[in-house]
Amino acid sequence: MDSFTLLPLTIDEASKSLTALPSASPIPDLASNLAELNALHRNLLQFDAAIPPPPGLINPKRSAQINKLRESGNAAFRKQTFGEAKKLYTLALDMCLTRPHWEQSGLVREEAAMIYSNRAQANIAMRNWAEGMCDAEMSCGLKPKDNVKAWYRRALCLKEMNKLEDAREILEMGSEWEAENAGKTDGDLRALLRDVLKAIEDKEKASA
Amino acid sequence: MGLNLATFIPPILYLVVIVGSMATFSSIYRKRKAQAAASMEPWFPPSLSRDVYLTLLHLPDTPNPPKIPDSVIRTALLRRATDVIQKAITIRQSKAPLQTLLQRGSVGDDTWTQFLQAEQEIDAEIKEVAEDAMALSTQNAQWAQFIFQTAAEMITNDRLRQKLEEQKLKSQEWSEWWSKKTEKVRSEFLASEGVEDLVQGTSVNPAIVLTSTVPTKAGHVSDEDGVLVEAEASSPLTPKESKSSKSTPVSTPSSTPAGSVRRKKGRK
Repeated sequence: MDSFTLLPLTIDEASKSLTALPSASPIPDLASNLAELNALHRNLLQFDAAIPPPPGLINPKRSAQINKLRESGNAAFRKQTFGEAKKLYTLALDMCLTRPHWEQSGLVREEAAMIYSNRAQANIAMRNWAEGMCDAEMSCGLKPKDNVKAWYRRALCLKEMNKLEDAREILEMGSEWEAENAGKTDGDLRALLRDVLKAIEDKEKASA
Repeated sequence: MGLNLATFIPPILYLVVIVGSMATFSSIYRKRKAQAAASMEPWFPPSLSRDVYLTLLHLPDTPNPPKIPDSVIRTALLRRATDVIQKAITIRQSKAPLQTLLQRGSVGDDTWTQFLQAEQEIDAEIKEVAEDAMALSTQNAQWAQFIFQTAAEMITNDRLRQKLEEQKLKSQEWSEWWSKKTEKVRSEFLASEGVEDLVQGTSVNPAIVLTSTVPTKAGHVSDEDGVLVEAEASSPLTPKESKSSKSTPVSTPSSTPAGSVRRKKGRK
């Protein structure tokens, strides 16, 4: 393991980006690998000596911006301009998902789960059931616990799309995850589950 | 005296033969073992990030060397660290299962030796990276203390984004399925309302209206109508309609959500 392959590399003086010299036997993936390296290098230049800080240190500017976008999204939602709210949530989401990768992934999960859940609500208000379902699903996937609203919205969209069995499954899964909050915040989930079960029954009766 | 010497010869000869044969055996055995180890297939494919990093370090030795700034070398080291951590995780995760397989005899001894060798190599590489990070630290940042933390976080983040991308593709399937369904219901509604002339006469019309309005605000109105109609229409047109509203014609990605969540749950 004490040997390595000397690669035909050179550096562009102006842009400080590495490139592979043309060689007779080109190495597969070298170009893409170098491209990733150069992109990371450009991002790291913002730090002193290009050393990224430990994951716990977060750039507060971006967090503030995300929060602001989300808040204005909420405001737009309250004003019933749902399209506007959705647009703002989407912007916030973009900001959140493009966080640099050396920052805590837990934070991305937390933020994205919340924004997805909000956007699901906006989609529901506009009766975009499929999109609402997908957003809520994202939210549940990112943060299954303590996320009653997302579970509820996901099941609601499924119910509206007449996918009753799926809605039931999601509701059961949701109440499993929210077992700790049973009796406190999961009232909506139970009510919806009752509705769905009733709808399934009705459907069976109608088809029988 | 001469008699004495003659009596000593057999035991000495015996010793020489024994020691000699043992020495030859051990040298041959070791040589074979070394050969086997050398010819062993490496556990991991050669690491490109390691090659890049080491090449950067060795570039000054080549004729007319380009000047490599430290920041580039640090970036290369960080990328190497992520690769090493990735491998270390793989090793740690596969050690216990491999051990059980070995005990059951499902896996040969050579695989196990190969695995142990890979483990040692990874340990050595981690040490190497830590030392280099120490050398590249500044006064303000003792990089060796957190380079692996950063690297591990980068891996987690990469995986998270990948998962999200996959999920997005699935979501698109859902949206397509739903818009197809609403479109179908709507055209059936138009047909049942006796607007066939319009549909057939200017057959392009409803399609254009639908596709152009689905994503905008007007679209949801039509969606709503579609759902209502479906409920009503299902009784008169029973067999065909109720079937189609269930799942048959357009493939439904119905069971996908449950699976994805479970996977995420397991990873956590």
